[in-house]
Amino acid sequence: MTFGRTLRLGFLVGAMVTFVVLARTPRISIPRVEPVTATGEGGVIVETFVVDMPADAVALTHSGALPLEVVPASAPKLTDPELDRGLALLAKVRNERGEVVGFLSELALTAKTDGDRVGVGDWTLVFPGRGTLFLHQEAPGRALVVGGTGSLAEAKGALVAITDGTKAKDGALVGKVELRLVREPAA
Amino acid sequence: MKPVLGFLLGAVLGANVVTLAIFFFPFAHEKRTAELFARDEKPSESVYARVLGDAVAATHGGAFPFKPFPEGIAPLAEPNVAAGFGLIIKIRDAEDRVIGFATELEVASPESSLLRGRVMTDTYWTITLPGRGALFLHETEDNWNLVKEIYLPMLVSRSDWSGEWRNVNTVGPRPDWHGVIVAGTGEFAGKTGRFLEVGTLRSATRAGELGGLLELRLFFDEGAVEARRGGG
Repeated sequence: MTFGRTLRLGFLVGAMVTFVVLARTPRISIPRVEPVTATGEGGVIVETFVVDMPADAVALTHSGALPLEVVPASAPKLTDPELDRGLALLAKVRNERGEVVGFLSELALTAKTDGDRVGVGDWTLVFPGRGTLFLHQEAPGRALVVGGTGSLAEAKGALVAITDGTKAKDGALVGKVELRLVREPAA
Repeated sequence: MKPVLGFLLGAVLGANVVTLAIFFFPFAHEKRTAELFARDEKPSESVYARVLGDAVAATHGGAFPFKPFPEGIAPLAEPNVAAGFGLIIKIRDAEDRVIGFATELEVASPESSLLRGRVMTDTYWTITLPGRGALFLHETEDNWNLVKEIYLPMLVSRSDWSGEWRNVNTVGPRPDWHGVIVAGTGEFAGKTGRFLEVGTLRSATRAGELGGLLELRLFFDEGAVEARRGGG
């Protein structure tokens, strides 16, 4: 085979390999995890999530007014006057089987009348490959779905804290929070 | 020996031609920043965040060229969240006063492909402004411009970058390159609309640190605002 022919062959192979590599870069793989759901009274769809503290807490911070250690310990506190009632949390979310299936954020404000209690809050739960839920909490223990994306775009319902098994131990939250998402079946 | 050399030389040439063709290909979405700025549309409101001065914590599962902080923060290491990114950040008004806080949660998109000039994420903003309410936003971002104009030159030059670089990070999901205001509470209850995430980058390091300003331009639907007013 002549130099010219192998040059052309090499050019084609190099171009094709690069084409395929660029088409597949960056390679993002999102496993598909089927939701673990049950049907409740009136046909509502019930799905239980668990946040295992402190293992699932990625970041937790607040103004310093709450008797909680920040996570990680080096995290800055929310010292600005506008945030003096604020608490922010990033955490992983598990399904009933204990598999990490998503992550959430909570931005909460302590109630003006009760300096130690978290009152209202805004939650976002992201389930990669599935969708997102936006929730607003007006009272402790219950947050209403205000919007969603992906397969959860039309979700209507509420997230209820069934058990808050966490206890403050040396300033850290320890235990499991069980959250039950109760939503209406798709029309 | 000559045929082998010819093949190798050809392969290198072929690889370079394809790479350069992709690099210089004028993808339509590359022009969105110039086109959107040319419209000079005034938002209903903008909120801002200093990058990374206002950031409280950020982590991811390895899919983002970004240094997690603060020291000791856990990664999103599990397979089902490894494409994720989470950020807690303070929010400012146009007068640079801290008026709230927000989280930006992202998932790297499987639709990403350098061949199509796509380095994409699905991004979810939760913005809480004490005394006013909260906003929930969804956008798709395309960081191709950032990769092409900042990261690749840094990689080639082996040096950090500084300057002034403005970019509309949002590319969708709306066909007009805007993100969606999904929901609101408090004074934002019932409001819908669209938004843009505009980044002004002033520094970037190969270690993954960024410096600049992030602006979220909110465009509320007038109809929705009027309907809410009419409804009391």
